[in-house]
Amino acid sequence: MRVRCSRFRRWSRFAIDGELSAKEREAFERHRLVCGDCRVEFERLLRAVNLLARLPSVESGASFTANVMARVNRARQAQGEEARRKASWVTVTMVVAASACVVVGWSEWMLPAIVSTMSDGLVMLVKGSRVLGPSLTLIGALSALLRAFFETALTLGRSGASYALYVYVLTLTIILIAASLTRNARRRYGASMLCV
Amino acid sequence: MLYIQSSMNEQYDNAELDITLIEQSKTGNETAFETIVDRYRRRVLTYCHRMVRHESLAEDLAQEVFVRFYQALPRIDTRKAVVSYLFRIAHNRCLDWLRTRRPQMQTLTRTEDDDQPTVQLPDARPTPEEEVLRGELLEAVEKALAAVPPRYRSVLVMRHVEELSYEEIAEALGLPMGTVKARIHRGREKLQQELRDFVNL
Repeated sequence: MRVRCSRFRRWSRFAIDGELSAKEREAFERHRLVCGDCRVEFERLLRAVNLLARLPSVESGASFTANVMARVNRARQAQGEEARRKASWVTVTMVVAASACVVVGWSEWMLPAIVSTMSDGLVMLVKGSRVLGPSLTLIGALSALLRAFFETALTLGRSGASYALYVYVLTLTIILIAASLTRNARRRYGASMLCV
Repeated sequence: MLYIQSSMNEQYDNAELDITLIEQSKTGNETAFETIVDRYRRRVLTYCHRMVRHESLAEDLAQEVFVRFYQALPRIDTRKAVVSYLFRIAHNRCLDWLRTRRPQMQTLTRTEDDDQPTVQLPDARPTPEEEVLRGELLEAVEKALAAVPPRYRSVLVMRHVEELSYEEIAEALGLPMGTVKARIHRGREKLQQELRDFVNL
């Protein structure tokens, strides 16, 4: 096998890592002996790598491990406080949601009036979003969805509507909790950390 | 051959010990975690130091690496090497720091004093004069390494200073093996250019 200069230079990285086959290595060495330019270039690269490998290790201070453990404990305490805050937030959300469900359940007879009022409000929101521009289109879309939902609920009759509203509030609660947990997880670990 | 065998056995034993230590740390055993810190602090600190070239800052970053590793313990997969996790965190932390603080860093430029003649490294016990020359040479290598862009410097240090395998580097950086090899090769070329006054025959 005859090796030209271009191939020799391409192979030099594999030669340093010992990844050439015996046959390739032999051809590589043969070219190295006959071509002065390639030999010099390869030896420069080898020297640079050897110099790098001679850099000494850096020793840490005596209190390194103790400092790490102190920081670990501080981080753990901060994490505990955040978990407690999160738990209290979840509890408040659950209590509010449960209260809303109870109120809705007991005031079933008021439902048509409530739905009517809310629908009017939502229509106003839709109109408002048109005036205020595209940044509020999301609100508009949500409002339209809600109105469709309530209208459907009304056609089911009082008990049906009450049940549907109850399911809706519960679903909303679950979404809020999931969103809160996801947000906390992202904030704590950072997107760049991937799996660690 | 015997050496390779014993080295492989040692690696296997180390991996087994790491798995045990990680599992114990996951259950809240602080002593086990302290042992992990003791086993890897020199390597992590050396990597951080080579990346940011500042003693106290490197120590601070290295400590943070272990804190983050501790927080990530529940998600650590013991089938993967501990060094991969540690160097991944160290790499991210150092690059973050270099990205945000770089303008404030002192620019490392070559001066007239850097132009030292090519020096042969002594194989036997060095004389005081040789020690001085050796110190100057290592200083020059450190400066040259600092002048290599961080993405190449990082893989060069992992490969040639910390002697990580290609697999461990690829795992640490989340990159394909081919990309890692190409990056190391490019890094070597850049280092060679930075060290031209020392490697030119």
